[in-house]
Amino acid sequence: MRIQTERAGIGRIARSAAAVTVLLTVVACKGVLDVPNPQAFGNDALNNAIILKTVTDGAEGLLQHAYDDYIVVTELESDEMTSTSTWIDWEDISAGRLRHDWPTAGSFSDPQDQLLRARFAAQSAQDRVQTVLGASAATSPLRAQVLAVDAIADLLLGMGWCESPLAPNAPRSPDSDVIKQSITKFTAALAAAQAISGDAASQAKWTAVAYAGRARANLLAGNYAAAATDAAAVPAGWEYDAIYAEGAPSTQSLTGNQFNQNRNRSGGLREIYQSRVHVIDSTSSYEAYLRDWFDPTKDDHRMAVMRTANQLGVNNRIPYYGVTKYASRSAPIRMLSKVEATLIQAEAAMRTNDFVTEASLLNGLRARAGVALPAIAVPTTAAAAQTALLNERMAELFVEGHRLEDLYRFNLVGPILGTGRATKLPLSRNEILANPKMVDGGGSCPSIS
Amino acid sequence: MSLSHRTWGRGFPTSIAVALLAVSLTAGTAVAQTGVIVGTITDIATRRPLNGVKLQVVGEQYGVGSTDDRGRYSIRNVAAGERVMRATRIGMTPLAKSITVRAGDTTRVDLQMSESALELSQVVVTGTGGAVEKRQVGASIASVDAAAITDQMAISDVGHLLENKVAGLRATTVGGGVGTGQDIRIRGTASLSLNQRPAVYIDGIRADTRATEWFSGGACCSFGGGASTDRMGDLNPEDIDHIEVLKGAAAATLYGSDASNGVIQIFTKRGRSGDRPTEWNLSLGGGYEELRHNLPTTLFPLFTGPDGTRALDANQTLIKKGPYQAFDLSASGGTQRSTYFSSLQLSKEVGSIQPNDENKASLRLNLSFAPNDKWTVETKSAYTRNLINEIQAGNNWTALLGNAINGNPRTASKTRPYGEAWVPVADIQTMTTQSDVDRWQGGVTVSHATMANMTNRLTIGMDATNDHKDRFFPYAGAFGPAGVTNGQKNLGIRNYKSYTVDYLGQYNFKLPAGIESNLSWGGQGFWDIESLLISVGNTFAGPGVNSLSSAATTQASENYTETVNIGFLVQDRLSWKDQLFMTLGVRADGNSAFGKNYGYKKYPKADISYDMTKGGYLPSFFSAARIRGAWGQAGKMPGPFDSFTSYASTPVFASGIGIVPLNPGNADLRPERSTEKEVGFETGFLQDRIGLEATWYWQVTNDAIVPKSYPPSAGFSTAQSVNIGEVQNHGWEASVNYRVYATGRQDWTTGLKFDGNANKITDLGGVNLGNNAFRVGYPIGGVWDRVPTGFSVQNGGTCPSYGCPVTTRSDTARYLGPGLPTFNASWSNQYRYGQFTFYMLLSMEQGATFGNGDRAYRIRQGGSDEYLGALGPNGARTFKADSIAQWASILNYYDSRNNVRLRELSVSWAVPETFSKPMGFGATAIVFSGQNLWWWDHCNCVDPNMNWAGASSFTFNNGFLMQPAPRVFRMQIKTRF
Repeated sequence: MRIQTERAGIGRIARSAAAVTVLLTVVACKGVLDVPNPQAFGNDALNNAIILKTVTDGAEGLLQHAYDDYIVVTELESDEMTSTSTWIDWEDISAGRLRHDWPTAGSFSDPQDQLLRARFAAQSAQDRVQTVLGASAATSPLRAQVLAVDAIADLLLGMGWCESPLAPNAPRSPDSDVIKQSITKFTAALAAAQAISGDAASQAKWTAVAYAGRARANLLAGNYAAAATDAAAVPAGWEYDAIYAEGAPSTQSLTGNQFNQNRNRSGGLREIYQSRVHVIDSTSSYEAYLRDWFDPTKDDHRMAVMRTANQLGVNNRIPYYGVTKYASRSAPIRMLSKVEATLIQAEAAMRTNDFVTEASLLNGLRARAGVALPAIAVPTTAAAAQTALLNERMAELFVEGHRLEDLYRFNLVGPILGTGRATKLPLSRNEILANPKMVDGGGSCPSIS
Repeated sequence: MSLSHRTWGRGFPTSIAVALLAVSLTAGTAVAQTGVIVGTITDIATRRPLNGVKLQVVGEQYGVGSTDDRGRYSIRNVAAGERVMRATRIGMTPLAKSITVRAGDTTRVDLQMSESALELSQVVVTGTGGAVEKRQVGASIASVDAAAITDQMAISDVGHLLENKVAGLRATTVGGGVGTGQDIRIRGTASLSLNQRPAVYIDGIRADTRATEWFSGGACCSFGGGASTDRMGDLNPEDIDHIEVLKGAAAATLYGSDASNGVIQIFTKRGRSGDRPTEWNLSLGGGYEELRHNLPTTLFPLFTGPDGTRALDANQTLIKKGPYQAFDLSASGGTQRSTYFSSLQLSKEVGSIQPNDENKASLRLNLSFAPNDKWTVETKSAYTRNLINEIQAGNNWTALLGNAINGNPRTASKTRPYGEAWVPVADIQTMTTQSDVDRWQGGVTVSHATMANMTNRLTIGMDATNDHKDRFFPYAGAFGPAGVTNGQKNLGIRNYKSYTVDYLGQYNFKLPAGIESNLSWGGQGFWDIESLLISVGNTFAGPGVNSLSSAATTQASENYTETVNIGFLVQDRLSWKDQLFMTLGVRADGNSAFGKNYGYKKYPKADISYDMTKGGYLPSFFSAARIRGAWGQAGKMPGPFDSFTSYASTPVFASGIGIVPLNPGNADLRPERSTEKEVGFETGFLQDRIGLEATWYWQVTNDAIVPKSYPPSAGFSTAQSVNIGEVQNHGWEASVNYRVYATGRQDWTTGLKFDGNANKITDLGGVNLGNNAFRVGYPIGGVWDRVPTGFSVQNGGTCPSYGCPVTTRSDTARYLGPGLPTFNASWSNQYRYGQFTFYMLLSMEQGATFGNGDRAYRIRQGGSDEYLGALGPNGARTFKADSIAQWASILNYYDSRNNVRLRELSVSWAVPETFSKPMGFGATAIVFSGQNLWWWDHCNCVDPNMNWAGASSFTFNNGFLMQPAPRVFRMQIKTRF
């Protein structure tokens, strides 16, 4: 009897315990599978006026972060820099082997990927600015900012790559179409900049960006008169730089890392120009300069290189000359400027055989403080005018990402670097594979010199 | 960081231990009509006493005992009457003996056990829904007698302990340096993107097994490089009693969404029940490790650099003998109602390439207490402090050996005597990279026998790791390629906590027709939290400071992940006439990493086992036979936040902040589901002196998570995780164990293990990953690259008189082979002659190919014996040297990982009692052992097992810049008192 009573008691306790356990489990487990991600925003959280500027700055930051990478790959493809690395894909870029739909996603893909993402971020931010600000978006500097970023991304895509998609998930389009699209976008950015109210500094900045960008785009599209007009509208002394900082990988400059004698030494001055370097001190580290194109007795400080005696690239094979203007990973990179606008004006003059104006504009640049080089003579032939222009463009825009496009549009890749080379970079492998509108193997990017 | 900064966990284990100790000391003993059983257990063949035999009086909750070195045991308070006593020991045929226990008297029961090459009667508990003999389970469960291995060989960590011990389990030392990671995987690879390490449980508690480098994501920071520390190395191997390994989804179903890679459960030692004095075990170890002198720099001293510096050969200058010392002391014992096991280990291991060392201290206290016939409480608690000075290795500008062997001796200088292209070796040696880990792991298991045929068990525990990592680049070093000028300091803190709650109920009942049923039900949940904080300080004002606050710029980043998993299970195991067994079960999981549109995932299982031994109809030459089959599913959960659509903050411009698209997310994301079928058999011959075992398995992983790249033009930078892949993975495993002969004077046991494995990607959902290693119709991690297509000689131009050799390459990548071995084998031998025991383990791997990246790098930089040896007198270029250089400028090298390796060799001397007893010692042995002593291969590499990123799951197809594993020579003295 006692045993039965004990068993009954145990049974009640067991049933009660089971019920309590189930109840506690249900209560405790409610919502237990919902965990927070404290390090990222959800989509809806960004439709907030407080953080809207960080969204537009994010788009501009992506563009600037892409620009240093853009310079690295386009400069390696051009005659200014050569690969001094041990990476095969860098060697392939430097040797101009990349063409068609290149079968591997090497370093050439990454800058285009970044530019495409920056463009998407800018377009996405445009929608968000409109959603959050409503009617006041029309006069907001944020709108001008993202429209300008959108346009610059197209401009750079057209300069560096044979093909790009014109929109998210769009099929491939040739570089000429991308540049044309950038003209349209710069025009929209210009209108948005001019409509900014209550922020004069932003209005001035984004207006100048739009003019300078459209000037270059028009030049590349062959609209020389329009290019000259836009270039003339760029304020004197103005420039727009990509800003970098050592602080974090996303703000560090790759050019300052890879083209630097104290860092990776993976890309350096191409051998064909090393003989033009004025050797100052053969026993230690020093800054040196390429000779002036017009007067070889003079150093051209616009083409400054870093040199440590006997130093080789990181491949231990090629004598190494770093780029002085990228002496650190914090060094800013000029993206748009009045100086370039002046060169655009000079080229527009040259295109109309106005060599006097061309020489005058070029000499204006040569005479300015910090350069102080003798004036060039007025060219007497179209060829001489072209040489004078390109020499000044190389000196003035040394390792700033223009040289590849210059060689391409003046058909100089073959004469300077040899035949059989690709003249622009092929479409990103990542875009080809992930974009459903792309057909692998459909590349139309031979562009052989 | 000072210890005072880390307060978690402190006091917790101690408090638990003190409380439980107090409980055990105050508990009374049973008062009943009882007797005592004593006796000795010996090996029937050798007549030597058997240590560690577990004895159980059937039906008695605390009627247990175990033997000492002389094979003696005693069990008190055994209820008087007819009883059955069961004796078990890994590797021996279990015995059951009917005895009569007389009240108030002592009954002597001496038993003789025979060694068994089969382990069908061994009891296992992992993934089985309660303790069960192996013969009743249709799926593969392997057991490793860890205690026997550590008696045979001084082992530093669990990974080494598992090397070549289980067919189908591959544990490979890949990082080389002391404390670095191992690649541990079971049955190859069956996922396209998720971690391939098996889930590891220690005494039922989910364990921290991270073995990959730290990346905190976002704005900065990492400790990347590849030579990551391995948390599996924290556990003291001397604490391990045995290990159970569930090899695949069919066996691991009850572990749910964390189990498709298999499960390793580690059981730590318990005290010995029975009223005996405390048994003290002391182990003293010493020795050293040293890399094999096969670095490709033997020709370096023939060359001098521009300043006249003669280049150094790393074989002669960098390879050192890294000393090893270890001290382990443990005490174990107990009463009839309680047991205790406590241990202290101190060890120091120095790498062959220095600086690199590991200083480890661990404490363990395992207690069990049975206050009455119904309740049992067990606590397991271990604390480890592990300080590792990490080796600079891996894909890393400051890889120490990488710089020394990949340089160009013709550029040698006083500061770069190896012709280092990146960072001088001498500067790397001034760096410090220290990992300082506090770890507590343990829990409480409460068991309750509600009725004679019903039990409940609840386990609650946690594993908590607090790892403080500190890397310092001194001001003066030339660390430019690593992005460091005038010094850098990195500080990292990894805080990991995993909580486990596991409940299992069991109810046995009889059904008609002689069928018995064992019904199990329960639930298991775990909650993982990992926080990584990494800060970086760049540029010091001068030498003499090394704090973050002394740096010109500082940055920090945090990465936080959290995963919650809740699973419920039910299982019924049916047996008929103790011959035919069938199990049906299902587990359902909810997990925080599943997409918000996805609910619970169900994993069913079924297995069948037929033990033909008891049928009486086996031919006489069979001593045992069983056939089995199993079918089951298990899953693999996605990454913690992979399903979330997210936008990330990132620094922009100089110091501003921006928000950019990051992860497109996937609300439908669900776990990968592996479905496995396996069949197998075990047979014994010659009274189980020969055991043969074989298994075939076929596994399909559906819903494999594919990292589907978003088009860059569509913005998001992180690939979207989508369940669109399918992988087929199949293979076989076989082993033969043979006790060739055994006498009192000598015995010889030999064993062969084989396994084959192949996988194939059968579906990628139409996605081209752009990664050569993942292609439909080919293995995961297959090796692909461009291949040479022709060779010609060009003349003229700048070519020398012998012409320019020109190798051409294919436009597209070609398949070169699988990245993992398709065939593994090992052969072990143990031979005892008198007091001496000799042991040898040979291993073999066949079928794998890898990218031998170092080889091409060395040549591109004008170094390596291969290139230098092709040069003419005074280093003059030759046609052969130019051919090698031109090849390497456009192509990589691929080599075979095929190798045969002398994995382990030892000789031990059991010190005769005539020497040890007068000194007060019990069983004493002196062991000389070697590991990884030699290997034979066809690879133009330092070691065919090198792996690019240590324990990373998908870098096994590349050996880039990793350090080879050393040869290890050790001596240990083990004694008891």
